[in-house]
Amino acid sequence: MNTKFIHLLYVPTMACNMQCRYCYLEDHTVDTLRGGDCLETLQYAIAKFREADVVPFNISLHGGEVTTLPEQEFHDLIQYISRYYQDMRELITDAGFRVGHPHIKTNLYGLDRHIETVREFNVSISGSLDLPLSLHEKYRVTKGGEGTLERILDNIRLLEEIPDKKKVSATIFREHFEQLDQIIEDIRFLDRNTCLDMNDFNFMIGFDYNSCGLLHHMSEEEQLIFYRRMHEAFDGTNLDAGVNGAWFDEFGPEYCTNCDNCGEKFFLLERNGDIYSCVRGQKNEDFYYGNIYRDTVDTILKTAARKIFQNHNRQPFPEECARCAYLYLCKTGCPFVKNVYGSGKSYTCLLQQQMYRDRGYAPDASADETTYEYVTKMRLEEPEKYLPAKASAEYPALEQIIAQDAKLKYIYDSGVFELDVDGDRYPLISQILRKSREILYLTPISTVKLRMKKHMLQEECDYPENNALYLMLLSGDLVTYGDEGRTKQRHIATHQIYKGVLDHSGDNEEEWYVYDISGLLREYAKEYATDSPNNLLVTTTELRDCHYRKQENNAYYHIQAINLPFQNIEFYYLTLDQKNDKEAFHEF
Amino acid sequence: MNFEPQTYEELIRMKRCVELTKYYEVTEEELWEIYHFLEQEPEAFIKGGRQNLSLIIGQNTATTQKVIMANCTDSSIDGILLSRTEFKVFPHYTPSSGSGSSGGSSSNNNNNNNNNNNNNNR
Repeated sequence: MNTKFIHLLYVPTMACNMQCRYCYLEDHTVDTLRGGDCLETLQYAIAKFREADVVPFNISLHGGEVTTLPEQEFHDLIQYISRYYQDMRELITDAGFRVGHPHIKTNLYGLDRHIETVREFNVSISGSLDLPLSLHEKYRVTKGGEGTLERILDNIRLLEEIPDKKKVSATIFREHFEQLDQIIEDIRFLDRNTCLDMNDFNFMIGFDYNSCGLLHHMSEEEQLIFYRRMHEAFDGTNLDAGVNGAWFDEFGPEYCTNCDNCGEKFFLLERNGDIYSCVRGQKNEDFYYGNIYRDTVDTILKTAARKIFQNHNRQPFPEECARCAYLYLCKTGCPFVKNVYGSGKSYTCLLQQQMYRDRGYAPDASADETTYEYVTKMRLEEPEKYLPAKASAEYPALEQIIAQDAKLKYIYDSGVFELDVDGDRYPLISQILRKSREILYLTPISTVKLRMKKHMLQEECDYPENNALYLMLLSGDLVTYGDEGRTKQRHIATHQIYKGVLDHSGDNEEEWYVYDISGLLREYAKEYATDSPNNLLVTTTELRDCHYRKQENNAYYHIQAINLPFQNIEFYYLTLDQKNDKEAFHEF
Repeated sequence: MNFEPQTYEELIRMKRCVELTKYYEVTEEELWEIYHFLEQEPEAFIKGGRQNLSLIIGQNTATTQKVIMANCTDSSIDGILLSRTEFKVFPHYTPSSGSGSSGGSSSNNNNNNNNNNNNNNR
């Protein structure tokens, strides 16, 4: 088995000791499972994951607010995570992940109650603040509506002796952005007057979701102004490393939003066993992956990958992203936010592009190939639209040779032959220019008509009367033959239908010869392969000769068109014999 | 798929589903789901990528009915598109750093020059 490593956020409680006016959890900040053992859920989940060879390389605690837990419960939980890291250290580090200390996300308000545990296990703290601090005092209030800043600053002082990470983050909305100068001042204040590592500080960019209508998102241009102002203020200072590093790392390629499919790696576990994508998707059905008590790990993992795939595809893939040389880093951003905004691209697109440039991430030299790769993995758009043009360094591409020789045009034209099967039309396309194979299912009762533009008999032909529609039927069975030992589809029949016959077809239309080939196909019914598609290629007698003359005279053309180049379609021919052959269908 | 089709329509639908199993790892239950989806929805499309099969009605991918997580087991393709009237296979594109080729030609290697049956009837 291949061990799968995941990032696990654990929400041991939904309770919160504050009531921020814009809280995204809104009415969910009460604990619906009071009395339950929050450690038991985590232990159960880890054991079940391990049985399925799934290893969390990181377990972070998130809320609600984890510091609302009773002291002993908080201690036991942290102790468990600490021991888990010790036990799993080798496995996790061998897989290339760093093992840290137990980590909590907290509003810092009730941290003093747990300071002994924090000290004992060297807990890594990530606090959340509002900047400027004046807005913190306004928005981040207790359930009684009182300010929390003073107590939070007191609690930060308690962390001075704790050696591990002490950081904070701030989410920026337009209301914060409007006080940019004060934000800068307050960052300096926190840097000078607290033990917080402000080089490890980070910004999040707010988006319109569950902020009770209180906060509004910045435009992408405002995000850029914000980013540039931070650089103006802090580049070259003691916080240079921060502003060029952690502060904006959330928009870099290391974070969850830059995964192809974050459902393969990031999970949020609630105390009741429910598993969601992350804090953004928490309590949202579209990002709910199952319950660790009720569902198998395999089901949860498959549901996660499936739902994230679906969530990405709720919005069309923007052409802008398809052409972007940074798609390899961005992957179109967070699916949750994209669906909030009804947009297919990242809501911090401009900011990300600027940051990539500033941090020296090279534009993708093979952007078209990256786009194709991304589309085939993560998108429902048809891949052929994004298929990169293939250039040969050694000799001209077939398309180039065709463009330089007018005589070749109709050997390769995609609009001059069609197959009509019971009223459904299929364009016939040169089989070596095709970007996809098209396979038809024909039966003895199918009415199959070949349609050819009437002018085709005149192309590269002095005497159309002597020209003919030229059909080649090849079997899906392969044969190896000749000096070369080449393997090819076995030839079944060649059929030429001359102008005089085509002229008399009763199905003809103004521009088209329409000729019924149902009988011809039926004639060879027993010769067709049943396991692999058979092949129908068409051209005219004169164009076929033209192709071989070109092959003789032009080595590059010969190389590029070494296989039959003519317009084709593949098909199975299903007969009553096959219908009655149970083996053919019971194989599965 | 343990049943005997009664009509050519059923036969074709079944054959398409069986063809799908050449490319994707699907359970019999999932295959039946695909079969019935194709049977019941005139505008049904099955889009297959590298890791999944999506059941879609019409061309609006935003209204995907269901996604079945199914690994594509054939490395020579990048996806498929299946409907009542279509079965398209998207051959694997090998990035320029590789040495393969792309294109929609079938696995044949025909150079009919070796099989020239000109009848000179001109």
